[in-house]
Amino acid sequence: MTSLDEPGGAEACELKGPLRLRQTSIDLHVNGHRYEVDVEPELPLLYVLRNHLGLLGTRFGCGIGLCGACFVLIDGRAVASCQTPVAGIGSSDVTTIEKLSEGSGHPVQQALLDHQAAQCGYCISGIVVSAVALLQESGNPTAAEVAEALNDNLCRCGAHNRIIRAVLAAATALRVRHPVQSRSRTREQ
Amino acid sequence: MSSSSQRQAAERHDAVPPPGWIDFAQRGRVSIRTGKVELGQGIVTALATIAASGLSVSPDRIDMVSANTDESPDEGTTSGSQSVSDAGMRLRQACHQLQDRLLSKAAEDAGVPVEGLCVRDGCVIDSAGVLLSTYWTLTVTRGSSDVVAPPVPDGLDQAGRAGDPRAAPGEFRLDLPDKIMARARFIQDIRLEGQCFGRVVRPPSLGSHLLDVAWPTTDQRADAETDTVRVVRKGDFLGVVSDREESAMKSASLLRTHATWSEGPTLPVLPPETTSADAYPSLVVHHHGADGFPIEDESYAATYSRGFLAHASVGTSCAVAVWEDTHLTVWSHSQGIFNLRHALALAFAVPEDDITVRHAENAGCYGHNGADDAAFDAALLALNVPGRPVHLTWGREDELAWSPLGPAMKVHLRASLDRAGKISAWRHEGWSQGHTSRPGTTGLPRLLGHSLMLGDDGLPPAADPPAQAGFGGGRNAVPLYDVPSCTVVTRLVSDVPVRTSSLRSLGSHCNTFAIESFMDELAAGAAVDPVEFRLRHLTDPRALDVLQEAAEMSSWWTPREQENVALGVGLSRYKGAGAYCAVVAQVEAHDRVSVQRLWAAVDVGEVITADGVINQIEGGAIQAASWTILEEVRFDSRGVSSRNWDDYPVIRFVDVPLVEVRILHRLEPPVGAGEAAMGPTSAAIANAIRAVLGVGLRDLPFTDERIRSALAR
Repeated sequence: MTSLDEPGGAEACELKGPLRLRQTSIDLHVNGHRYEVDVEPELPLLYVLRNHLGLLGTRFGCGIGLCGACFVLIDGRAVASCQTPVAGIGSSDVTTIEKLSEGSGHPVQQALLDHQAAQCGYCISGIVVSAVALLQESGNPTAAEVAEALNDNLCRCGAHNRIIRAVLAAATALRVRHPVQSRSRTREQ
Repeated sequence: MSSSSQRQAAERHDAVPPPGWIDFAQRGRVSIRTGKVELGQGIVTALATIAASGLSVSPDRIDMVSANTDESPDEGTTSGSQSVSDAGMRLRQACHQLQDRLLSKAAEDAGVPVEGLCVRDGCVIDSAGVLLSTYWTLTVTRGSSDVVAPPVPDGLDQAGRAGDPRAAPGEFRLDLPDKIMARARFIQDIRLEGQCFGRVVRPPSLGSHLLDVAWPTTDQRADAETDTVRVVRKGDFLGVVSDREESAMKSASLLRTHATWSEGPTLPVLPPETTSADAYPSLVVHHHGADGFPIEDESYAATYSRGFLAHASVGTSCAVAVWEDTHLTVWSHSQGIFNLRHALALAFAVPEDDITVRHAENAGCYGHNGADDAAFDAALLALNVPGRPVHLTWGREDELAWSPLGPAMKVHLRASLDRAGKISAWRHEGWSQGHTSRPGTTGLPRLLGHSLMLGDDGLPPAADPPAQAGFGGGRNAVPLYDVPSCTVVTRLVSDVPVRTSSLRSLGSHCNTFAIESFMDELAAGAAVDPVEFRLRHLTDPRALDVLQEAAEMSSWWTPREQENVALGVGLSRYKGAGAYCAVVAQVEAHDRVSVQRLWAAVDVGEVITADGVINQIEGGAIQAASWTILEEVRFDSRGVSSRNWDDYPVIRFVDVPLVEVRILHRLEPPVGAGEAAMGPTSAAIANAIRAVLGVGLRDLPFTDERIRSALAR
């Protein structure tokens, strides 16, 4: 072990603690399952998902809700999990990318793969969530509407155009697969 | 074999692969160990394609081993758009040689001439189609050598799209299924036995020193849980380690309010005003022809600039480190794992053999970012919890404030036009901070946390890559055009307290922006169309071809009907020896200016993966568009002030232009595409904006604000 006092070694580390955490027991509905977690009530949902529920597909990008990497669906809407205190979720349904990835994945994911619509792939979980939220609301979006729906998601590698084409292809696939449902959704509106 | 002789062996193109580069240890599988790493650019897939083709095996049999310093050859950094031309061609050569050797062995074993044999998917068959042996039986040293064709791999989920017109087999990115299906794959997702979490707390300003850390007194409520926190403090390095990530984050937050720092020196105005010709040492990058400008010719001059740029990847710097006895293992998304190992060895004063660096993927890497610094931070924290891995992630503010930046640059151009409207003389003077400060170079660690730990005057100033490595501030400073006389001089600015290093295309971005902007000004002076003006000054057929292709793709010669729409062109050959790229931009001006379309024609010589090339050109073009209209790092008197996505905006979906890329195929040595679009795209957009508005903007970025000011004048 390298000497802690040498220039290259670490300073004596000061053992601090205890760090008091005001934890409470919180019920969550995630991906169709009920969980009970013991965490601080203001802990962002992002960290509950990643570190307490082992759901690593939702990502940290900025912590202030400006990049979309952490998006999850809460009652069908795309929400920044980095800005959502776990105590504020209540009985709402949380859906993460893991649920969408079940089986051979959501049609949006299949389309992204077919179109090779990713470069580094880090932003893609959040984008899938935004796209799914869009397609649940709108079965036949235009390219401009897809861009608008994804505008809260940052992609730094420049895969935007492919992603839009993939989402449009997924919309088509969903309409072909579920024409009755998409019509009834329109009627409900 | 030691790593330095491995490196030497790897650099000779006729080298026989060192043991383990290519192995057939697992029946039916081929393991390839490369020193190049996946940055999001698809290089691992491209190398797998090269290997599959070179060995005549199905791409589905290839297993690319993630680069690590224990097993992989040292192939330098993954940078400079040279992985395909260097590592790729080495690998191809090694595969061909290996296939030849195995064929010879097969012939010898079977007692037949080698000429009648061929390889199909790793199986050696004779002219009658009889299976003689396989790669796996030919390389087995013990155990069964039954000659049975290995089963066809069933990993066809990505390649098994029969008749798919978009991408050929082997073109589908190997890493995308995991990433799109959100399987744990990124460095942020590493979870090891006994792992704990770390965070660092950086000084509030450049040059401020840590005076005191007053840990808050604990709350004595009976129902509170507790978590142990280790505060690591050495010099100006401050960090925390805790079992749970939320505790580490909370502690770091507490330290930010409870640590006392001295005031740092007030920074000068940034970017610096560096127009003095003599203030900095100059480098003559190029000179040919007569000095001076012909008196009888019309003279033109202009000064262009860009600000500092941030990498601004969607993921932040991250690392995992563990000390086991005297051995340090680090997981990092560094571009250069061997450089990092060397840097860590220097920083911790331990032998390199006591350190293993393993590459792990992060979000897009566009150059020398904070990856290596995070590795040091994690390793320093981990010294205090021996045997336990420390997983460390930087926050967004630290990422934007403390990562190395792409240097601000200023370029002054002067040229003369003769009576025939041709350039008769050309002079380039550039100012830039250095474009490389990579860790482990120049015998120093050059790691942020290490410098903070020493509490010294900060990291040494950046240097510039030399001519053989394609320059830094001088990259693409020599124009592509035929001019009778040309002098290119660059100056290295070293007294500005901003940490700079390599960012995608280095000096090529600003130099190409400047040169191509100036070409448009000269074309206007000669009353010639901008593309025509360039054609008249080119004889390189590959440059002519990409330029004409881009013009054709964009219908350049068909005037646009609308008044508020204009086109602009940009052309460059990356590093003067790499990929040719011509870009045309279409810009529209309504209440604001928007980039509607980009057309790019690219020539990379031999194409390994067409889809990879298209992605890199399109991706690079969109990033360059963002640089052109939005990006510059902002400073206040204490340091970087643009620390979130509001203050440092990058282009979003609604503003992204449509991009069309066309590849011109040439039977020339393959070169990389990753950096080729940066300069041409910025130039094309700048030229289009000037054309549509009729204003002479010369300083990037062309923000809405700058455009409004220019129009008001």
